[in-house]
Amino acid sequence: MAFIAALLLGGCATRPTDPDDLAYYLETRDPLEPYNRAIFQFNEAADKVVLRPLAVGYSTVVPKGVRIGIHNFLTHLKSPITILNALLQGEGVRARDTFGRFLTNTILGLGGFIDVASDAGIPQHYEDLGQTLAVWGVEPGPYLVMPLMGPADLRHWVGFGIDSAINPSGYYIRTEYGMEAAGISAGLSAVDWRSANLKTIDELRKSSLDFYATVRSGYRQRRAHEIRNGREPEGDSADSPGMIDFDNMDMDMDMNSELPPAGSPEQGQMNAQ
Amino acid sequence: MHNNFMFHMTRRRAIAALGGAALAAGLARQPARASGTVAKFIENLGDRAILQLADSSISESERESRFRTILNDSFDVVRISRFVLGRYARGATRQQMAEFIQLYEDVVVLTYAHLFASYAGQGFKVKREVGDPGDRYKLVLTEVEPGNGRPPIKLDWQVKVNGGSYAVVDIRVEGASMAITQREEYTAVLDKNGGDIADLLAQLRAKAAKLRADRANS
Repeated sequence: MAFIAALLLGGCATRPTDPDDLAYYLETRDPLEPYNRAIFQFNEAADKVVLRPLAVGYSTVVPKGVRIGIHNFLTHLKSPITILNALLQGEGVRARDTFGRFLTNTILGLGGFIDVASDAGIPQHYEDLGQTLAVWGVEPGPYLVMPLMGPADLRHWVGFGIDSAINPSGYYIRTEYGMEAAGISAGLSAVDWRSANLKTIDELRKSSLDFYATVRSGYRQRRAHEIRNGREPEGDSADSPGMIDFDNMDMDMDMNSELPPAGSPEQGQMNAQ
Repeated sequence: MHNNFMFHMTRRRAIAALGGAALAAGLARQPARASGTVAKFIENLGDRAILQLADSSISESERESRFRTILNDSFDVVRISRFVLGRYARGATRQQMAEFIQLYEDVVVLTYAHLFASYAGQGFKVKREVGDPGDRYKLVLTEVEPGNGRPPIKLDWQVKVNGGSYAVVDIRVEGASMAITQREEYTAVLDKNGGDIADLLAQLRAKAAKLRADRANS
């Protein structure tokens, strides 16, 4: 735990002071990159050989209605964790919504297979302990790609471990049906996720020059969005999380010209080599 | 057990978000509730894309050329291209920048145009729009029904305001910006090769050629 705490809290000695450099540094900071890239390559291979073929088969063989039911049930199992963490974050409405969804879908939705609650207009939320820790001010720590399980920051992993251990629905499945059932449920989650993103992942992987960097950037942005609960920028603020400042790119360029002005000839020569 | 695999939520969300942008430009709209003209611009863009691109009767090369026309009409490709090169943009010569813009556009067209071929036509709803203080940019917030039992996807369009005309500069899906993601992709390549723009261009040329070949074989 001390090791984890150090990683979570430890600042980095090389943290830049210039605001632009600092922004870039925070955005792409990845102290474990060599390790992460190796595990990422392994996961990519595992995806191509195992997960993707399973997902293709799953979406070919299993009817859409059944797949939606399975997805609903897997989401249902996570409800207790969302309720707990919504409460820990002071998100009363989200806790209430999720509690309402859980009851509604358990009773009226065949134990969670039919999402009656969404039809009734109760919105779906997703909270986890990693998000709670973020709301409490804990830093994300390093980006860490795990074998077979994919990327997350350390704060997210720690939260995930604790969530998994304390989730009552997970405990129930493990004790009533054994570890095999737990394994099947985990595998099904992975296949459910992959089958819903077949084309998307295939296309991104094919078109990216550095898929590792693409996934890392996507993860971080998506996670930040999750933590702030997708809240939209308030009012008219240029500092809102929603806007990119395209006019302040630290570039000596007239952004409105047809073509950019030339860089210095020396740089051009160097770059041409 | 609870156990979603980690990536069930993380990679799924992150990647779905990114890739969902592929579909973003072509989503049919539901009856408009927004009144602003920027919102209209986005709605019209969606209408036009779905009408022209999700047409099963046209060839893939026709789809690509229509996609390119829409891209050039409605997106500020030059501004986006500079942004995605990040701090390396100023090291590029005029010729390199011009070629980068062309190749960037090629890769975007080759990646996304054909996704409209099988597009099933879900709708997006404009929720509201926000502006920056100088009204140089507007953000149009929309939501898409994914139609697979999942909750609505948040889709935000950042639009550059040029007097009375508009151009999209970024699409964000569930908080993930295409421009930022691509900037991280290209700067990762440039970090690795010591800022060699010519090498990046060579990689992009090879990528575009490969995507073209894949398309021809499919």
